[in-house]
Amino acid sequence: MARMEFKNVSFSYGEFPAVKDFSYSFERGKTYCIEGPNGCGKSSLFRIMTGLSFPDKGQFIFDGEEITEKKMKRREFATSFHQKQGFLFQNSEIQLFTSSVEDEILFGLVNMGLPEEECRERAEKYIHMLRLEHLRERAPFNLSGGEKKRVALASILAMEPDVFILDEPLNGLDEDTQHWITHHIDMIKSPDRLIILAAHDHHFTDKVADIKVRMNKDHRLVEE
Amino acid sequence: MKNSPAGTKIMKTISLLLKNDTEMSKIEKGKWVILPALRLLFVLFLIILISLSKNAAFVIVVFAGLVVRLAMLKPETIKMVVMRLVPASLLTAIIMLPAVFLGNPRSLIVVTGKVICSVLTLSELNASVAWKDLTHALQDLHLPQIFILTIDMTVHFLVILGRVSNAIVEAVELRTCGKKNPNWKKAPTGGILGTTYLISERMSRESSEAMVVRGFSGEYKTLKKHKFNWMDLLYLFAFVLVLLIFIYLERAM
Repeated sequence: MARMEFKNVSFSYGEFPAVKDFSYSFERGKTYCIEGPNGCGKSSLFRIMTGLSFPDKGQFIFDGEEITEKKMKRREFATSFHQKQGFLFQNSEIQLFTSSVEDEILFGLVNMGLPEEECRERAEKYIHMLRLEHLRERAPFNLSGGEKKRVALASILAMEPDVFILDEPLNGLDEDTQHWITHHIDMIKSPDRLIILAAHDHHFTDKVADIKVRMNKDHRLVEE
Repeated sequence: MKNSPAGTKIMKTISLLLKNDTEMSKIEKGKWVILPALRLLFVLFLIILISLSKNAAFVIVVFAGLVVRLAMLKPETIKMVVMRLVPASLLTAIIMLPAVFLGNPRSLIVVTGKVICSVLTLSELNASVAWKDLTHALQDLHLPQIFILTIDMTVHFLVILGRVSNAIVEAVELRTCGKKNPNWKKAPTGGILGTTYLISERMSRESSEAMVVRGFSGEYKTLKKHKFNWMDLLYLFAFVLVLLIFIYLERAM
């Protein structure tokens, strides 16, 4: 069974189309890269995947269940849906909102309702893994672009989701940080995990992606 | 800079002030950690007593204590505290100056002294307690979590929007190329404010989405970090001590 399935999905912002008649199935254990020019609808597709937007036409199915606006209004359903996913936003600055790096990593864990001890253990694990020890007490908004990206990644890794959605993870990063992110994406791959990312850099997508999905300027899926 | 409109200069100054004010790395950590909520309560308690005192004796005693505490801080922290203290003291002294000519010079000394002590107390707290600890203090004082989150995010966005407006001001300055164009005096300030507003709207939407995808459902939950210890108990005695000094000096004078 596909982990995520799009059936003839169309989505628009008012009169501006963003996704047109998109049909595709994403299987667990694979890493997909969605490629395409700016404005082709990649970010809109990610918004649908994360339940932030809903198709105007067609169906979006996650774990065999159609995700609708009505269902997402139910707090329990929305929380359980979001706990299965880790979404790395294109702009990390917006993704970070608490007063310290440690609190940022703990935010998702506490919302998951995990016991305090487990929250702290997981936070420690990912602070150590992403080498954030020296930044632990710092306010996220005072960090550099690369550091913010690492904190954002740590905050979603700590939730240990089995679906990762990464919207242009290399955006605005220097070469070292790009290598570092590439390495970590390789690290999080596992037979149970589905990773979907958007990127423009072909070297990067060649390295990490198992399957490439291309969208064109007309907001449609063109090839696999 | 010479040709930039006054409004943009003011915005630049505000955003730079915000940037400096929220720089967490400058926080001075003490050897012992005292419950931030207690420290916050103590500061409020002290300011109330300073305001209530009817004579200069209590204010002088508090001032002496604060100066001793200030002397224990690092030179750069002392500089930062003094830089905040001087303008506030001078402004109060200027406002109170007419009292001297109306035959009440004591008011000038007492009121200025009270302002100096209050600003010094707050500045010392600010210099020694990180912003996040202060918000945790509010949590310990049982303020609603959503209120604390709002404060946290407001500061966060003030800094980010300060940066945004700074960047726009710099872009405007670069494009004016040193020429004086009367249209620039009005247009950029409105333009900068409008653009900053639109950016802030987008940012707030994206931030709320970022919270939702990490399981936020309207209830802001955090883990408590500080447990009451014997140092906090000792600190409680400071409350009693200050209150006794206040009562004694108010009665004696």
